[in-house]
Amino acid sequence: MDGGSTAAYRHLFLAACPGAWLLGTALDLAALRAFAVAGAALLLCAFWLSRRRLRFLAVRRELYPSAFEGDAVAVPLVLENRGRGAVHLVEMADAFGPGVAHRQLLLEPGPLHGRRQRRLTYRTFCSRSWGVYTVGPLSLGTADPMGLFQARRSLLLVEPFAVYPQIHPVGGMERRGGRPSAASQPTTRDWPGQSLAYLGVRDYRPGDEMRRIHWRATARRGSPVVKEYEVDLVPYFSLFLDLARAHRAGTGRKSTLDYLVRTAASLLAAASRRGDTLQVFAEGRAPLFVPPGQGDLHLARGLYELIRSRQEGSVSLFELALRHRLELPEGSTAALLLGTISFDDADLEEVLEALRARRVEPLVVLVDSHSFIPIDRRALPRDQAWERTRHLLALLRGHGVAATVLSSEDDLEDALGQADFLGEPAPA
Amino acid sequence: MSARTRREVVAPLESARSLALYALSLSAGAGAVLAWPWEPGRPILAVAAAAFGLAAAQAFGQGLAAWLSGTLEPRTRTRVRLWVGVLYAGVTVAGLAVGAVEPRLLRPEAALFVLLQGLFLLGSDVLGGPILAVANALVLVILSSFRGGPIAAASVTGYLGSLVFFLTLDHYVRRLSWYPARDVSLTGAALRQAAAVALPLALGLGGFFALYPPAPYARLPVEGPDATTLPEQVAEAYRRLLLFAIAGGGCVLLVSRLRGRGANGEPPAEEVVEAERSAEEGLPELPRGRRLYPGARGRIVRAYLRVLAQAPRLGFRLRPSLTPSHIAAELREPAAPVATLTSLFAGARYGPDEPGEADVRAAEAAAQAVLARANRRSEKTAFRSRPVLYAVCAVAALAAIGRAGPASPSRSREIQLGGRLRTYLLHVPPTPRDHPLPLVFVFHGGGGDGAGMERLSRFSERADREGFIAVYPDGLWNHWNDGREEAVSRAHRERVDDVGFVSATIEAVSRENPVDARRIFATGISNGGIFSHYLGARLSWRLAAIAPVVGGIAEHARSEFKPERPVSVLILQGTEDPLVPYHGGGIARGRRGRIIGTEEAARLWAEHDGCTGDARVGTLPDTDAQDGCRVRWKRWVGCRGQTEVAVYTLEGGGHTWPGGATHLPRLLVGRVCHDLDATELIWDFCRRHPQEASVGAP
Repeated sequence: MDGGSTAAYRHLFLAACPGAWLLGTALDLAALRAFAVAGAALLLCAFWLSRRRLRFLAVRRELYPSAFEGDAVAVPLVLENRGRGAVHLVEMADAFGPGVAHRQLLLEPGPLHGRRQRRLTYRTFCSRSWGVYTVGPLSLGTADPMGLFQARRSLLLVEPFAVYPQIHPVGGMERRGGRPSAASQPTTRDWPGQSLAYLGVRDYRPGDEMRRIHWRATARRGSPVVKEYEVDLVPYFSLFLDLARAHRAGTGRKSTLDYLVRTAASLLAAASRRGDTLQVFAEGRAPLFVPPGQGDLHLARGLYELIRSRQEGSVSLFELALRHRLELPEGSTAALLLGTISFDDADLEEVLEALRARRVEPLVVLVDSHSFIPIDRRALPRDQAWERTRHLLALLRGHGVAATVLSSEDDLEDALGQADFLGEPAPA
Repeated sequence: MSARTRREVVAPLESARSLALYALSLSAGAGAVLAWPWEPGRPILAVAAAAFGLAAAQAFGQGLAAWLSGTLEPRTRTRVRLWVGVLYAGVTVAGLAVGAVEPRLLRPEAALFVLLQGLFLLGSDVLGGPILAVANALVLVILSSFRGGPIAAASVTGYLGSLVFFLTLDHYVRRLSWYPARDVSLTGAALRQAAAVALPLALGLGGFFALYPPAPYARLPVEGPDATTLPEQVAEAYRRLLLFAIAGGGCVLLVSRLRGRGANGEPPAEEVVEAERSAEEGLPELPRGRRLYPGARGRIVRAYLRVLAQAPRLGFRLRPSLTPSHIAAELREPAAPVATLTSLFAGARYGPDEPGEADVRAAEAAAQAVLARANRRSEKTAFRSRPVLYAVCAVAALAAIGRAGPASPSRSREIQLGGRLRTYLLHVPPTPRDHPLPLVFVFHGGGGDGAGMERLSRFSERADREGFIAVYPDGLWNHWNDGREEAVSRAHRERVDDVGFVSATIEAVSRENPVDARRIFATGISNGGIFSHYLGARLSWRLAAIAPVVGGIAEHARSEFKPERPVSVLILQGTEDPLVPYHGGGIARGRRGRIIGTEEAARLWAEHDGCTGDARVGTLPDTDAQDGCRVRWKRWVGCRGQTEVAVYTLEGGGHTWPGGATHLPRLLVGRVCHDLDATELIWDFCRRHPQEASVGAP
């Protein structure tokens, strides 16, 4: 916060005053002594003015505390002059953590009159990757009119700022689940349920409501028959995220964590845009649970939990899904986001069966950890990894489950947009 | 922001800066050539040459800078600056030393330094800015000072005045060249600010030199070619100089406007961003001063901030980096209140739930406890850290033995009342008494405290002699809620129950000491005096007498003036009181509420006490003729319950304790009346007026 130093003049003046006094005393020159006294008074006045101006200034930041990667962010600062006189040339230095620069310097040239405030907005970019950063501290600086003395005050205006991962469009997501409104998408599924869409008839079972008896068919068959309706597709999206420590691989933008978080964020955003109720289950060092909810604020909460997550867990995703399967409403969609392709097929099949039994539509995204730089364990050779990938996709297709496999060779944006959760990943 | 726009913003300031630098050089250079003319007897020629020479140097210097900007490497520039600086410092020191020893050489030296001034102006941009020109101008001023007289005075005054203008404009140019800023025009503001500093300075110096003309250097030859230029010639030269300066300045300004040098300084290392500036808005109105945190949260936060404000007294330095837990660790004692206060503050500042009234009270009580500890600690520290002062005090105490200080020390006491910690000083006479003792409450004035009131009133010494208990309570936030409706202090705003505090204090003191319930009295000064009236009206069933000093009955309290019992009243009031007017009206010119007049207050009490018959009047002897004060009194006797109402009017007396020390400058509070000792008079009055035996609690 130093736009061109005026220190040289200050030093000259500080040396000149006592020098003039000494010379004036030694040679008995009253003019020089008067010069020294006047100069000292001027310096004192300048020092006092620089401090006095700062005392009446206050600043606050009115910043919405989150943005997506690459977003342009406007940071509004409100500078208040609580004194009576006008102030000029007030310097401010802010530290916007997600930006590249260490500090953002700005100037209020003034005049800012007494008992007035002014909003100063500077624009910067979220240049860094997703995560939680800080904005601040903020410092204020003023000087006396001659700029000889500068006074600065650091304000502990430090706020967290969340940078969410960039959202990529996810192919085929609109087919999962239904829409709450009259839209072109299917809103029911051909499972027996409570919708108005007629499915067929079946034999009467004890407990069936009388009003559902199909009298004409009953008369025809001679035994009670009831009408069945299709199930309402609940617009409900549950995400199971794998945060097992064992599945860590790669660094920075090419890591399983980065792929998992970005994919999870894109899935949540797509589901939220469709109007789904969202919930997230994961277990890192501590359980991560985002309770069911809808809307942008709820999505922001989900994203916030995602960017704070780390692969430090020890619980398998399959175990997590089995544990929470009863919390998934019938007709909803559940996405399993796994950080590996090396697991026991039986476990996967067990989970799929359990979800099917709850009439939950599963969706599987696998991140091939062997395609990233290994951290804890040796990676599978690429041919074996591809073999495993093909096998898994065939297995999942056999169960009628939409799935895709992401590897480090894939551009995430393209892979999520094109995969459609049905076909095989494109070979590298 | 485009370069063009930036230039448009900065260009007028740069032009003004060039003019100021020219004025600075010219005032110093003209002084030097007038003091040491090249051709004695023709000073105007020398002045003209200096004015136009310096103007040409500065104008060409701007062109030279533009030409050299692309030819010299930065490293070469640095070397040039260094060598020129070192060489110049050597020349200056040698030149001044030689000139002081051999004054005949001052003439060629002046010519040399004027020439150097031109050179520095010519190469100011190459030499790292005009710092060398400013320094050389100072040397020229020193050379002028050798001559003394009006030339030295004009040089010094002109140099400092134009330096202020130059520095201010330079500061603005630097800032606006560094930061992108558009749509601002600050030339006028910069000039106004410079003028606000320079004009008083120049006027002061000018006045000083007019009164005390500077003498020439003692070793100057009295006659000959180096003798003083004739005053008429000097006056004429300065008159011409004004014309030359206008012409030279015009040239400088013209060249400066034509060239427009653009941005100054190194490219920024940080991200210098341009702010979008909104229009000015009024600050949001905050109720009752700066209430950034409203409601219960705010009260807790403010209690915490009150403690932080006393950080130096609490023994630690408050730094912005300290968190509440750090502060709690630094404070340590008293542990429980600190922990309570910290926890409540954290909850109020950051917690999701609105704190309750109980939390607020707990926080305020904890803050009060911490501050009470700080008070005691600072007293101890003061004594520990000032052994010399301690010794001086001890010697003074020994010297004053026999008439100074009470025999026993007063003790600090605390009681909890309404969630607040209240404190008071208790002074009990040392001699054991086998009968109940009278109790006297002495209330401090606004902004004071019990300890200060003990020193001012010296009631403790009298208590030791006469055998009564003296209590000096501390008002919350150093004020008493004395019935004034105007929000004159926080105690008034928060409607502190000080009457309840006094009542509770009577109970607390009575539990520890034998107190005569029929002889409880109250007195006080200023805010404490107004409170004494209020207390007399509200607590008449407990108080036998009150003696307000320089404090009247609050206008608002008059409507509620319904004492249950007759109370003896002694009023002392100065007629020249600048704060509490004798005839009533606004306190401190209306800023701190209103009271009724002294005579009216006395009549009100007399009516209430059922005093029959006419009042008796008299005067006290003028025992101190120097104090500018006379005392007359008026008494109503024969009142119900053997009570009495008396008014002592201190003619010429101010807002002071009669017979006491002067605690504030006379200009602020008026005279101290020494014709009577208020402490003695009050105790004598109280002693004679116990409550009637039949009087008790309703």
